[in-house]
Amino acid sequence: MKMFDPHIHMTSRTTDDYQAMANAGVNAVIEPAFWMGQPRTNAGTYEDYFMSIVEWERFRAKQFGIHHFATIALNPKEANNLYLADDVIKMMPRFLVKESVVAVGEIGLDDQSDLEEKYFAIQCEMAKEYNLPILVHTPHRDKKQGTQRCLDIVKESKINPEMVLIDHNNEQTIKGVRDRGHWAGHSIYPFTKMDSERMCAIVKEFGSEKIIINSAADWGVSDPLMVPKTVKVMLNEGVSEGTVSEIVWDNPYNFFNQSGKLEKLLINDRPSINQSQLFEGNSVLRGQDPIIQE
Amino acid sequence: MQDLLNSYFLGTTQEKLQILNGLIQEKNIKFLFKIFSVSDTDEKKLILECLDQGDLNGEFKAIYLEAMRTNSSELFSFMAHTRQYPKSFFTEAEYNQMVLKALFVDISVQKIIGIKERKNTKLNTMINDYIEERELANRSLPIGVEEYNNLGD
Repeated sequence: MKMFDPHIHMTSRTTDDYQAMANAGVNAVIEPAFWMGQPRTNAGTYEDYFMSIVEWERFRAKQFGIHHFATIALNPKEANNLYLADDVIKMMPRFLVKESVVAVGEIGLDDQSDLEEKYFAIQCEMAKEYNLPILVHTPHRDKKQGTQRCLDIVKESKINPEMVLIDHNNEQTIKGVRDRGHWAGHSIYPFTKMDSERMCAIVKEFGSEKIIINSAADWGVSDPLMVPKTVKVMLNEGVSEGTVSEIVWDNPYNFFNQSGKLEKLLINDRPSINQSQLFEGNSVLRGQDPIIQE
Repeated sequence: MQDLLNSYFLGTTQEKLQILNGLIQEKNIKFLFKIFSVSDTDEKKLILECLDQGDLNGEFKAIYLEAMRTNSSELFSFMAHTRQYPKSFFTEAEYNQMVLKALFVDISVQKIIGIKERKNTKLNTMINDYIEERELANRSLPIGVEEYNNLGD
């Protein structure tokens, strides 16, 4: 079964992770722009970061036979930095039009401050202007109320509900998200957020329509194989192969293809690997024989 | 800008304190924010201490709020457990977020400065939602939840 991990921060991960994901059946990933663990000190670092996730990371993924796409945004945490936020917003348009950028995200709320709400709304407008869907981060603290506030801000923006993926759901939030007609993302973590068994129970209760799962793996304790591992749990628990496939391929594909940039022919098969290629003179290899596919 | 930053960071603690207090008097939030953003944990503590003592009207609150977004439990507990600033100047929503974050980073809630006075019904709801979320995930509750519940009304 081919799989899509539509939320993973590969810039934080190693080439071993790419190899393991490819071996486990992950054909495509989406890398949402997020924060780097410590606050950025100036907007210029955002420019380099955006460039790396639309260029270098895409190259790295392809070297292991994985399609890589990105979403671009000022993340909610750093929306609170009033000396940085406006400059990031100003640079975003030239990244939103790049061929591999398939949504505006992660936008949303973290501390649920006024500044977060302001820049969330601004970026909803940008998404409408550039005909892109939005990927919405819901807060980890005060999740229930914070998710509700996200839904309200999205509604106020008048963005088409179909163009909205609300992420990091759990049992407390999924009903409200579905009632608004949005897509519901679930980040499967080894210890926190949602685990594979709970996800399976959600699928049994709510079905597969507009349900998406991801690993949200980053620089913290996380697992880039949570999508394939959850597939295994769902199949073992009797969820049909068709339903599982819809969740881990068709749904993320259909949601992000609303950008008009995920052409089916492009990602139905893996990109062919040619590890002899260089990016700005850099190779992912360190002395190994390059794999070159026809 | 780089020259000013270098002269600050190359100075002695006494010289840094003079510069910091001068910036607070001048209300130069932008430059102090910049210094803060490129400081390490100990240097950040010095700035927060200065603000706690010198910013009598909470005009530099943006720096405290930025500091609260840290992933360092050392820096976070320094602010929550030893500084008066959050109790004095944080709004209810900002204070509540600090308490919730204390649970997330697993530090004591009862030691948060002002917790008894600033306990509120919204925070009670947030803590109850948090307990429900942890129970759904079959995860144990951090000690801070019990501490919070033992604070009384």
